Amino acid sequence: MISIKNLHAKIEGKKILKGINLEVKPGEVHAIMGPNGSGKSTLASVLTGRDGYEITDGSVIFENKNLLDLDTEERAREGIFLAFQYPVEIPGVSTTNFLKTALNQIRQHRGEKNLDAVSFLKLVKSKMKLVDIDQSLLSRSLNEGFSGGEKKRNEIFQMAMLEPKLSILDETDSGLDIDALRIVANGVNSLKSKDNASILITHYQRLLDYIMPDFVHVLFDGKIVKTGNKSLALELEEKGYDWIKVKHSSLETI
Amino acid sequence: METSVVNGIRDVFNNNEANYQSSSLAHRKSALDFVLSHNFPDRKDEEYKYTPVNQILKKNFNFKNTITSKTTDFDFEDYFYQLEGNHLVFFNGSYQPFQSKIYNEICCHLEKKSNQSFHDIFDALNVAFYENSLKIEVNKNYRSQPFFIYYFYDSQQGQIFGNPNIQIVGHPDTRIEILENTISKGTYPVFINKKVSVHVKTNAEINITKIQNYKKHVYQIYNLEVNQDTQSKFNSNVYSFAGGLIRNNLKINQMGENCESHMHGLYLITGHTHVDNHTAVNHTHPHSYSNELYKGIVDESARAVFNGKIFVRPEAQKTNAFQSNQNINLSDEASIYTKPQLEIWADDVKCSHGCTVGQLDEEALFYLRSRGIGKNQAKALILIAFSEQSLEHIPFEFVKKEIDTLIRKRLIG
Repeated sequence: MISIKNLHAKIEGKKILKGINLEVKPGEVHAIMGPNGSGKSTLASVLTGRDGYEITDGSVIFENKNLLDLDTEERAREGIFLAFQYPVEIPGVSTTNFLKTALNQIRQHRGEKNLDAVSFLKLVKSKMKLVDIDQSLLSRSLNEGFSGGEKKRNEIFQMAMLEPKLSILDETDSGLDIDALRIVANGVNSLKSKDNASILITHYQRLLDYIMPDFVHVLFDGKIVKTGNKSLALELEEKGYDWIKVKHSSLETI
Repeated sequence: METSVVNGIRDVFNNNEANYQSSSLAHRKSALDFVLSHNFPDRKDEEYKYTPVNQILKKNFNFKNTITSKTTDFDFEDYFYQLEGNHLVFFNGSYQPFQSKIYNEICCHLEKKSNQSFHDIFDALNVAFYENSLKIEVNKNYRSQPFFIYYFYDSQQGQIFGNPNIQIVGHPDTRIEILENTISKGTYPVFINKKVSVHVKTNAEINITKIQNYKKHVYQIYNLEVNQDTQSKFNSNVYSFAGGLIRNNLKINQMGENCESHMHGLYLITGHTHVDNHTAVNHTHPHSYSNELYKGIVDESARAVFNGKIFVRPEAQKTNAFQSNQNINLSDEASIYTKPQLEIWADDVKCSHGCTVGQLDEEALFYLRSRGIGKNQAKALILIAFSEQSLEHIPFEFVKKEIDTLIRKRLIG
């Protein structure tokens, strides 16, 4: 589905990604873990086309398309979705209004007809249950005055509405209490299919108690330095990141 | 004032003199003398620092070349809103009772005499030159329909100098709703110097909504002065979209307890449009309230100026006064000057003021785009949401829609 090769990126002249290689196939869940400042969020930003990042080397092929050539909205229409670490508050724009616009632009891109108001509402109702989100919340200004949990649930709700091929969840567990975490994880799990894939970016392995990854990667200093299965996450939980830092730094000095 | 301008203004006056009632000629002449002994404001005048009317007029308007045309191919009625109410026509600055469609005869009067006081050069200019004054007056137990005022200007044959003059009186326990719109044709410059005085008496309410979507050769000064008695309510909504110069002076004088004043504005400007809103609220009695919110989106080489003054006099205890001016600057060439001013002499009051000037929120834009919404549409969504907050207080649903359409047309294209 997505093939990232030797990806290098910098922001304001500072090198952040220093050769990322990652292959994600349909049906897979990949977790990317790593200490603060290792480049996790930068990877999410680069994959979704946020301004300010300069790609200095490497390639990203998504469904046979060169992803890096596409604008943010084109990537979304191709099926990439980012659940934000800090969802943005937009006063005056309601979630339903904005989602209708987004969904119809995605549908137009796929050559499908716009959804009429009735079918749209039907869809909203069916997806609302998934993350236990209240309708009144959806008619309010996007994320404005939402609690941390409500914001994250709204992200997963949007994901459910837009049905992306590849979802990137950037620290979706941060700031969530255990109940909210369970709701969000349930939402993600029930959206999982053999045709779509997810990349979970997380600092703690807590989220992985609820969403079972097929692969766990450790990102350190702009590179994936270790790949394993769920047990790697548990090992990290136990030992912290220091042993990886030591090991990796010592490699460099040799 | 420069001799050429003095001569120009004098010529216009002499040409019009025959139209003026002889009984008020002396008053007009004293107003004229006031004008000629002063200068149009300049960069040196604090109140006009960013709107140097003198330079703007010198560059764009010549009194000597103005014409006084009574004929036009305008079909006024074509522009009337399809609604019950009073449809009042002004042509080139003077009120046209016979072209108007009046529902409440008893409320609309024409006054030819000139006896109004004047405080500054534009005031005086209007008092010297206005041909007639429209007086809108509503009494208790009389349910008036809305007043739609249309200002038509025809500058196909030459420059137009228009001086509309309106007096509005809401007697106790009445409610008046007014909507103003301007329609012009022709390409010669038009200089509009409008003077509107409002008196909201005890327990009355007056609501004025203005749409300012002028051609680029229209230069307008608008002096709106409001006096409010005890327990009265005044609402002003002003929406500016285009014009060579739009200067709105709004002065509210609260002269009794429990007065309420609301001021809402939106300017959405591009090209070389220049919009300047100056407002002043004077709280003189206890338990008063004022709320002001002006929003602006400024693009290309447009220029926006805002100055809001709130005075809370020593007697005006328990006053609540709020003021906010929020701007989004979309271009490197655009300029925004904003200045809130709060002067408080009372000690038991609740007041706040603030202004912001910012760019479009890039983070919000990215968020919307990351969901598949195209860049321009995402921009429009954010800006429309920002603008629409200023529409909440319009009493006419159809005007809300009309302005909403204007905003969308401008932002989505």
